[in-house]
Amino acid sequence: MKNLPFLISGIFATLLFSWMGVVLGTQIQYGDLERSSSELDENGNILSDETLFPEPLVGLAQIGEEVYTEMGCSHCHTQQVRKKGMGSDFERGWGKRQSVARDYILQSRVLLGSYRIGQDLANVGDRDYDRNWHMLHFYNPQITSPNSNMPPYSFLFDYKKIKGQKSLDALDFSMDTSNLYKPEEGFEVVPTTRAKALVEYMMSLNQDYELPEMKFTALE
Amino acid sequence: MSKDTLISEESIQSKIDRSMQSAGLLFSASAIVWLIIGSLFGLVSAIKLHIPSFLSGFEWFTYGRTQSVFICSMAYGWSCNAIFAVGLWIIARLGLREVRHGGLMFCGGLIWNLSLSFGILCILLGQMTSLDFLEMPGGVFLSMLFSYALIGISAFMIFKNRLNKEIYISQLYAVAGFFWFPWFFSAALFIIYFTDVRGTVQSVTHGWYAHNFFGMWLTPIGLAAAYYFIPKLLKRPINKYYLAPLGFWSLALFYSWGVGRLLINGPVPVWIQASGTIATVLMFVPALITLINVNWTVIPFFKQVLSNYKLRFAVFGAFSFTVFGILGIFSSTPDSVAVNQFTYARESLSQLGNYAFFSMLMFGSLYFILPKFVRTDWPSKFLINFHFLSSSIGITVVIISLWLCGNIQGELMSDPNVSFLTITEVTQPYLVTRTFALVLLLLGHLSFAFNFLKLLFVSIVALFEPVDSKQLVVEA
Repeated sequence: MKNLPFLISGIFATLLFSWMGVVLGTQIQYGDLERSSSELDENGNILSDETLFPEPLVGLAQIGEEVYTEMGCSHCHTQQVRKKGMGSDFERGWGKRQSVARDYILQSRVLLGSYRIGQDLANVGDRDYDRNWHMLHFYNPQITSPNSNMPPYSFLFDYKKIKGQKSLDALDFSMDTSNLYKPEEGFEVVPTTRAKALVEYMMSLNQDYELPEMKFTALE
Repeated sequence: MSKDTLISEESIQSKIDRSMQSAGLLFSASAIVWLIIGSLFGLVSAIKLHIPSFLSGFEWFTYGRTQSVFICSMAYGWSCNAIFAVGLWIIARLGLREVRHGGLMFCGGLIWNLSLSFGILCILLGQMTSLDFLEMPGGVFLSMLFSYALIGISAFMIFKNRLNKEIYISQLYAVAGFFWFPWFFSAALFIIYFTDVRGTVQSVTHGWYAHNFFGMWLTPIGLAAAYYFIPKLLKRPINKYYLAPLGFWSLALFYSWGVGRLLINGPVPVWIQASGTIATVLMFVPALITLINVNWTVIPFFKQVLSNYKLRFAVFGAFSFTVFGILGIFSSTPDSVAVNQFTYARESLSQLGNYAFFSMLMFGSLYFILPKFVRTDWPSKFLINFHFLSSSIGITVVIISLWLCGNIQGELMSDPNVSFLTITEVTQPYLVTRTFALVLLLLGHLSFAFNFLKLLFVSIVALFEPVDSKQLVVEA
């Protein structure tokens, strides 16, 4: 071990080996994945007159993705459904099929996440939550999900005095049966643009389409 | 060895210590400051998991950001600065070569820490990405890479011009670490921030980076410290030393393939997942060799360990590495992954590696090195003992509570009849326990910081005393 150039090349090469295998290998294998129709024609080509998936985020949802990132949501939420038999992703209704690489090609920063301190969100837009539910949940998760350990994001909302008529987008607190979180009489809670964007992003999250390489999994 | 060579070696050693003094103190002081900042933010994040309304009115302190600040300040603040101090010192000492470019290293250290401070501020303001360890803006990382170049070049120069041509295993680990870090750091940085790589190729690259950060940067320096300090303080040779290079090359070859383990069942190619599992299992080779080399050397002399505070930290760290290896292998079997994936068990394993192994070894090393920089001994043994007790007990409680918590969380999550909110409730007692343990860790870190301040103060006072009273007693 006295030959310096030999030693340094060895040290360099070991990492090069894994870089070429892991990083370069993945990029070569599917770095150029494109959107695709659910079915392919007999030659294996995309059907150009059908909808291509995944569909890009539009409008506010795009800003919502940025808010999701800057709040660090992916510390607690994954956006990936595992195959059937791994945990209970399917039984919990978190998705109709396993997530695949193609689902993520449009994300500027991929948001897979690595902890499920909260629920998986890959298909949250496809579940039974409406916009007002999400708004209340962000304002204070205790309203919709008592004992949740998700922090409140009340700083994304304006708590203000009602001037004349109530604002159109003021939160509807009729779900708050405990009456603990309702604004006082004469006051209202109005979402800021960022809150609206985040909710639009939630509503847009779904992998509710089939891809040539992955069909919906049957739930028996 | 004749008396003359002994004396000249001693004078070279003190020359090395002096040549690293300013840069070494800068690295150590920054490491300790970041350690405190990191533990504070870690504590805030931990509290938020059982009291979600804690500090929730401030956007700056929302969980996603405090957790990112915790990760970045521990990784780039505490760990990297500690590595700069300890790793460079080991390379210099073993090569019997003093540092010629102390100023360059000092500048590098300054830029590194200023960039990091700016990056942390960016996270708090929301200018962050969604990738663990790479949350800060690309520009910040570029500037850190540049400052690392100043430090890394010095490391290389010391190694290249070493007088002692024999390469000891610690040097090999340390030098390799100083090479690997800029290699994977720049590769990942470039791919993620400055190319348009899309989709889960990004996740794979990011996983490769985060995995290497521990395995090809913290681990080699941690092991370098273990192989250096334990035999030195015990005054015993390494047991079956001839195996050590095999341990090194197996770590070098296999470790960084283990990234797939983190992405199992995810939307990435199956071969990545398979190679990840195989690589993790192959990690038993370096883990076993470290066990034979380091831990076997220690076991017959355990009494000596108990009485020596530097050894206690180092031995705790070395044994944790073995536990980490074993637990890592067991938790990567497919059955175990199905349960533990995405749970606190993962955090438990990461704490075991980052703190119980790496940080404990760095504490031991800094307790050894810092008195040499200032030529004064630690003013308070009590604070060191307190630090050891709080760190060892604290981290053990953290690891066990998170491990249990993660397994229960995983079992319940696999049962679709258990509602998600029930899982949250069941995990609460474990998370509260973790918070108490983190308070203990913070107290330990504060006593370390306080002792360090005292050490600096005593050494500065000594500078102004008359020369003949300057009787400095430092263990060689």
